[in-house]
Amino acid sequence: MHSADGDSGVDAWRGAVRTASEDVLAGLGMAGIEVRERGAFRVSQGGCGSLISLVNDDVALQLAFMSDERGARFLAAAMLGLDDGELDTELVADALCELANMVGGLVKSHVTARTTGLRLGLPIHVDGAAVPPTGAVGFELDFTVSGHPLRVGVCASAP
Amino acid sequence: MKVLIVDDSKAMRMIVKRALRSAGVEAEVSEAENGRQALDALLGSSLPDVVLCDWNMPEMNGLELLRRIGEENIRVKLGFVTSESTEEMRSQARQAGAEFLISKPFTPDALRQQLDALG
Repeated sequence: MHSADGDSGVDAWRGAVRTASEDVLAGLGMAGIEVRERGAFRVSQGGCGSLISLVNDDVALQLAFMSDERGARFLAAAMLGLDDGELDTELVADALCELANMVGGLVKSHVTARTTGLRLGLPIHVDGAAVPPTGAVGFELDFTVSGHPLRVGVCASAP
Repeated sequence: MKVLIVDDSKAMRMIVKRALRSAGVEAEVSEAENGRQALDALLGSSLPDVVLCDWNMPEMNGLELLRRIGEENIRVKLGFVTSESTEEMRSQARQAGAEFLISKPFTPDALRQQLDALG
């Protein structure tokens, strides 16, 4: 994704992440999905979400999925088929990690033909802010799911 | 049908249980958080009809669990329910003796079809 890849490299990752995110959200039965492409991945503060990595010998990709508290609870409830009152903090965090896991896995499947040896990490919960590593390059996609925000930030750096 | 769901994510275990209900599968479900827990359960109690197993888990992943099931001569069918589904993984799963590999997210019907095909 770095400059050696040129714009087409970034576009290919953007397309894979966008398609995978849309497919996973729709596959989980969510409706009212809209997406707006933004610029570089910046610090996403004041929310909760999850991170997952895709790494091979050439690139270390980090995908962040951030929402606000209401949005996170909405996404978790929709994924699990529960009412908001049935959720606890741990379950919301777990659901957001699983969302990252599903999208990361699908991104890996989409890019396998051109990017070999990718390994999907285990997802981790983020409470507060997702901060891209210094010097990393990337992009953000702003999703809205039934009116709730879901920012997908992607950055790449050397492994 | 007795089903052992193996996934380190409680949320995912709930999603699989919900899918079984939605698919009309009358399942007696037990759960494990990783391959090691699942192996202990398979060695220590009556066998389920099928193990629905994640691939990528801490402690012991799904492929290692499948290999250990073979080494221990445990007669149980295992299908992967995983977020990763590259052709390489499908090939690895087949070679290790998996019955199927379903990509997350999946529909209840897709899960039902795989379970029905087990006979």
